[in-house]
Amino acid sequence: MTPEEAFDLHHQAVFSFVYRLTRKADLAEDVTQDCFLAYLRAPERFDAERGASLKTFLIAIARNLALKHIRDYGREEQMDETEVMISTDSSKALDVSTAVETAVASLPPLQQEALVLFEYEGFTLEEIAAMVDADVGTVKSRLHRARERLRRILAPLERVGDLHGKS
Amino acid sequence: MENRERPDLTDPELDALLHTWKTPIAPPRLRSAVFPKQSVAWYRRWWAASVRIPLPVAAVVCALLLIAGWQWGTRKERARAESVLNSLASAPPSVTFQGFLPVAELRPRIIRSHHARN
Repeated sequence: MTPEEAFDLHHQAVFSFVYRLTRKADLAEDVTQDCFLAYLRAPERFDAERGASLKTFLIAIARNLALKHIRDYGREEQMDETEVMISTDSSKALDVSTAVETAVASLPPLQQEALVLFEYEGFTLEEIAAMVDADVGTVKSRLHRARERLRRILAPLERVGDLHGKS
Repeated sequence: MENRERPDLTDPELDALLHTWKTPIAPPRLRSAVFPKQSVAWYRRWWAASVRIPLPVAAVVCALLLIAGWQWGTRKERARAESVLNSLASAPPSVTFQGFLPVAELRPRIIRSHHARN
């Protein structure tokens, strides 16, 4: 696979992953660019025979770059669960997508990362464990806690979804 | 308070809600940022360069060029003809028949071949 083909195939996944972690499109763009430039500089670092896919390799690079940025420039204030107010007033044309985004943003960083990698990027628990350098059990636990928390936060939305026929 | 009375979401309900969150599309400029155009030699750039001008302007420029070329050609032809005429009129003839006398008496002499050897 040529670098251009790899870019065409995976750049949106890398961009979406970083955007979901940071919720900043410009940062997602910068990290995606740096991620592919790092890959182009040393493509031999990706060894397909070790079992990991190129997508896993690229997401791992993007994750490190995003974490470095967060370390250098700080993270936005984490919201407490009680602060995440989900309006159930259907007359306010509730934006479900924004509510989900806000709810995911309220998760602790490690839970958020596990959720994004599992739910949105489709990685297995084993792949995530290798990527974040943790046990499979730890990743499973983070994912479980993240889902439990979201279940509570997003419960009002489901009622609105019922009212709107789950559109 | 109200949240406490509400049952939590089931797994399929939560999954459905989570996937309502769509991310923006990555901007197309990302590709050119990752794969910048290779530097091309100036003569190749020059050879491949193009200029976009409106068609009426191009037509007027072409017409002006044709007229200028035609005028330049006719003017050059006229100038050459004038210079030839001028040179004929002003320059003295290089060969004249002044002092030329026709032969008064012809004396033909036959030279034989054995005499010619000497």
